[in-house]
Amino acid sequence: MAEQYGFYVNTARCVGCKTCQIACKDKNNLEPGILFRRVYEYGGGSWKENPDGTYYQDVYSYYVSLGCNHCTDAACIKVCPSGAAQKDDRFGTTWIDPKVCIGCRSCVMACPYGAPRFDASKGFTQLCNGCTDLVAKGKSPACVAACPQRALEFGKIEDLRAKYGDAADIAPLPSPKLTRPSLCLTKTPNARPSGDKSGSLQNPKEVSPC
Amino acid sequence: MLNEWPLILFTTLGQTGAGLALFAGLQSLTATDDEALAVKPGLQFLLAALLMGAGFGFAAMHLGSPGRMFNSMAQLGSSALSQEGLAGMLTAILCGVAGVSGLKGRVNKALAGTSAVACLVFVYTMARIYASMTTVPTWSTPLTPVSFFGAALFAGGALFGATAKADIPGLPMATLGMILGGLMLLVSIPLQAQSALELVNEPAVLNCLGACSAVLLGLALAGGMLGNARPRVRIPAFLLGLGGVLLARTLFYGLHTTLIMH
Repeated sequence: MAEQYGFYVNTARCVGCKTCQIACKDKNNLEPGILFRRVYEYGGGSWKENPDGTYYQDVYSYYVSLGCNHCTDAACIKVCPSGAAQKDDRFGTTWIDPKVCIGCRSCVMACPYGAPRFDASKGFTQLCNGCTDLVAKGKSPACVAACPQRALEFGKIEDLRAKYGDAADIAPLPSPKLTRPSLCLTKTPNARPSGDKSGSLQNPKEVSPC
Repeated sequence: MLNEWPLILFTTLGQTGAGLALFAGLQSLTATDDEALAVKPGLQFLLAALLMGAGFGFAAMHLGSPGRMFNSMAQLGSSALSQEGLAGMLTAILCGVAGVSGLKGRVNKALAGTSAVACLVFVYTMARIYASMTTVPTWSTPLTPVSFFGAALFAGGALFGATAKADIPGLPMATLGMILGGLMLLVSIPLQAQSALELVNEPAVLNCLGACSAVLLGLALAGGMLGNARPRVRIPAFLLGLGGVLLARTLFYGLHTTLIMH
C-alpha cells in the first residue's frame, strides 16, 4: 500500500485568482468547460440591526481551491463499473485509466466534490491525478507551483496534517466523514463549517460538473 | 439539472419489460394447459426481451465510449452498475428463450419462474445503483427502490393488460399489480421530491414534472381499473401510464445533486 499523498489548501491566503485552475488546464490540455481544479466561491451575510437602530453588514466571502481529494474511501472507485477509477501504486492518488473508462459518468454522479469531469469529445472521464508525472520527478503539481499566494501544497498527507492540522470541514465542501478526503486546510477567519446554510456557492455554473 | 434521457429511457423500458415478464411468468405458472395455449405468453416474453434490449441500446447511447460497453461488467464484486449490467443481460436472454419456447405451446414452468425471479433481481440491481450512492442523498433513500419496483409493477401490469387478448386468469393479478405499483409511484414521487427540493436548483421544474406525472399516472390507473369491463381502454391506459413513468423518471434524475453544489 502506497503512502497516501494529498493537498493542503490555505483558505486564509487564497484570493481567488484562479491561477491554479488555469495552470492545471494548461498542463493537462483541457477542453473549454473542463476543470480538474476548481475555485469555489462561498459567501453570505446580510444587514443586521444595532441596538441603537442603526444597521451594519456582516457580509463575508472566501475561496476554496479544490482538485481531486484522493479520498481514502473514494466514492468514484466504489461505483466505477469498469475498474478505470483506481489508486496509484506510488502515491495513493486516484486516477482514471482513459483506455478502460467507458464514459458512464457514474463517478461524476457519485463524487461529492464534483472532481471527475466527463469529456464528451474524448468519450471518457478524467480527474486531477495530483500531477504524479511531475511528483515522480521531485516537482510540484502544476497548480501548487503556479499559486502566487503559496496557498497550495502537495505531499504525504500525514506530513501535511502534522504541519497544518487535519481540518477539512469547510463550506461548501461536504463533511469529510463521507469519503475521508486526503485534504487538510487552514481556515480563513470567515470560514463556515461543512453543511452551513448561512451562505451559498457564488459561482455554481463555473464549477458544476454536469 | 442532470438531463440523462438515455438513462430515463433505459430504466423505464427495462422496468416495463421486467414487469411484463413478471406477470407473464406468473400467468404461465398458474394457468391450466388450455388457458396457457389460449393466451400465448411467449409473445409477451418476447416483447419483454425486446423492451429490455431496446433499453440497453439507449444505455449504450449514454456511454461516452459505447464500444467499450462490456467493460461495464468488470467489477461484479464491487460495482452495482456491473451487477445491473450482468443481471439485465441474463434476464433479457432468459425472457427471449422463454418467449421463443412459448411460441408453439406453453412456456416451460421452470423457465417462466426463473425469468420472473430474474426480472425482480434486475429491477433490484437497477435500484441499488442509486440507492447505494450514499454521496447523493436525494437518491440514497428507500424511496428509490419503492419507485423503481412501483414502475415495474405499474407499467408491466398495464402492458400485460394491453397485450392480453382475452379475459385470462392472469389479468386480475396484473391489474392488482398495476394498482399497487401506481400507488407506490404516487407516494414515492412527491415524498422524494419534497425531501430534495431544498437541495436542487430548479424546484419549480421538478414540481411541474411531478404534478404532470401524477395526473398521467392517475388517468392510467383509472383506465387500468376500467380495463376489465372495457378492454379497449387498456392500450391508452398503458400509453398514459408509460408517459407518467417517463416524467417521474425525468424528475428522479433531476433530483441528482452533488453535495458541494448546495
